[in-house]
Amino acid sequence: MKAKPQLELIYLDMTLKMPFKWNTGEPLGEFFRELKANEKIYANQCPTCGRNYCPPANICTRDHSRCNEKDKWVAVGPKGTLLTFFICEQSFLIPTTGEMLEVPFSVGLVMLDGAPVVLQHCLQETDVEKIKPGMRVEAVFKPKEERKGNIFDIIHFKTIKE
Amino acid sequence: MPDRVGIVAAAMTKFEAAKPWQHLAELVLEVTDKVVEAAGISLQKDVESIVSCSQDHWDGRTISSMPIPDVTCGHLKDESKVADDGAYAVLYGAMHILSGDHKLVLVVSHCAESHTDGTIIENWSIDHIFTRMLGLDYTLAAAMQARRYMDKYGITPEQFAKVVVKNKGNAKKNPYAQDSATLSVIDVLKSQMLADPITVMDRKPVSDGACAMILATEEIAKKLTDKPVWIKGAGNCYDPHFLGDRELADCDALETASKKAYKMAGIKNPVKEIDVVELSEYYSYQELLWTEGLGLCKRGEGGKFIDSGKTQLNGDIPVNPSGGLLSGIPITVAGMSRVAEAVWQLQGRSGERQIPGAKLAVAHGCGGICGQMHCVLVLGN
Repeated sequence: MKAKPQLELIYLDMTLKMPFKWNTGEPLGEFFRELKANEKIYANQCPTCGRNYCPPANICTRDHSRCNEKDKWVAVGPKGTLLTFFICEQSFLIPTTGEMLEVPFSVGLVMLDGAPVVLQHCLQETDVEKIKPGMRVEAVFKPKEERKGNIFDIIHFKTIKE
Repeated sequence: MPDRVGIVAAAMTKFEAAKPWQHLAELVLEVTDKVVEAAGISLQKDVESIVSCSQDHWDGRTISSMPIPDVTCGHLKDESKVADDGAYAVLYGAMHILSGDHKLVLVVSHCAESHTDGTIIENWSIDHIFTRMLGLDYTLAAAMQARRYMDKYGITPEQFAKVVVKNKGNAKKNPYAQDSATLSVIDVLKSQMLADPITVMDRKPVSDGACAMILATEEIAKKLTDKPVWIKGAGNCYDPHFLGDRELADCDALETASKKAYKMAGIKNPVKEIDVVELSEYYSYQELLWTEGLGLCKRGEGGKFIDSGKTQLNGDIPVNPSGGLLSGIPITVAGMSRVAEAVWQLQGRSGERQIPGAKLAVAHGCGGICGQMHCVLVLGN
């Protein structure tokens, strides 16, 4: 349709707000309890096919085998190796806070020591020249009194030299 | 191409006001494991396709079906979602089989209404440019529909209350039900008023839970169970969204849907031929209106129909022996749980709420403001 400059264009502006309180469930709840109380990152393994999960899974996504016995969970990290990453240069609205995101920020896939599992989290380093796949990183935890049992109990992964 | 679809098994969680220990995906996992065990199949080897029903707004994530393949062994399989009511997922699953593409389908629905504020979601479902700002939710719209129904046909709040008394009473015999009670009409009329004539007891309570079933071709269904339940007829139909475009005291969409389903099933006299009905009454008055739409009584006679006692558990044509949605079933799961209850009735698995000798059942799902859309399934053994 052609523009009609002689008419006032009418819009409706509205901000939609929606409260949620999601249940974390069995293994994810326990994963966060351990993160909060003990600075431990846990993973688990399918007893049938050997696939690893971080955070731990109730059942293997491929063969449906139960893998949620806590005594078979293994603590992984806090050190790991960077697999790949992105650096965000353009700010956008954070839906959970309603604030604009501070840029640059980077997120990487970190292969944690102790089991072949990948955790996705923020990187401290945001200079593209200083981030290389294969580099060593380590989780930095918030002080215990500030931890809430969510993924930001880990602030980010910092670059380490070994 | 197969010409009959069999329902092999059905499963539900217990419905509760909240299930704080379970993640949404764990609701799906629970019913999936139950129904796979009941059907005696391998989830990994036998299930070819997964049809789910959930809603993005209720789950708080776009593509609410995203975690479902993880807990249903669905990787590298056919997976699809229906976003309205679970009865439609059953219909869609049946189409998967009738198409000849799949021989065995898992259908599953979940919702945890306790995770958020349903009033906001209901308001968001309403036309966003014009009507939403008036503040409508389903209860306020339902009050308008109930009032119109009363005004046009002389139906009374006492007749609405009889539905609550019957369904909450029936729910006492249903171990999956969330809310059950021995009530009087006076108890209902005196309960907290939400929007006249709808009291808190006239509305279904907030609920969490899930439902699942296994659908299969005739050949496979017969191999898996000696009590297959056949989908004999199906019909679905939509009314306009804008309430002013409909006669709220009648349900044209449901009449059309049920006529289609009955024709397919060869039913000529529904009230004589059907043994049991499980329908989706989000509000008590809707059970009366839906019995009219399902052709169990004439237009405007829903009130007389409940007065007649025919819809009681021991009546000629019991309606909602399970306790219906008033006993506490979440949205989206609503219609699928009606189908599951009907399946159990036909398989003789309904325990204390069993209708003896039930051979033909009708399950009804609906969705949208004031029952905008309806899905009717005729099931038989």
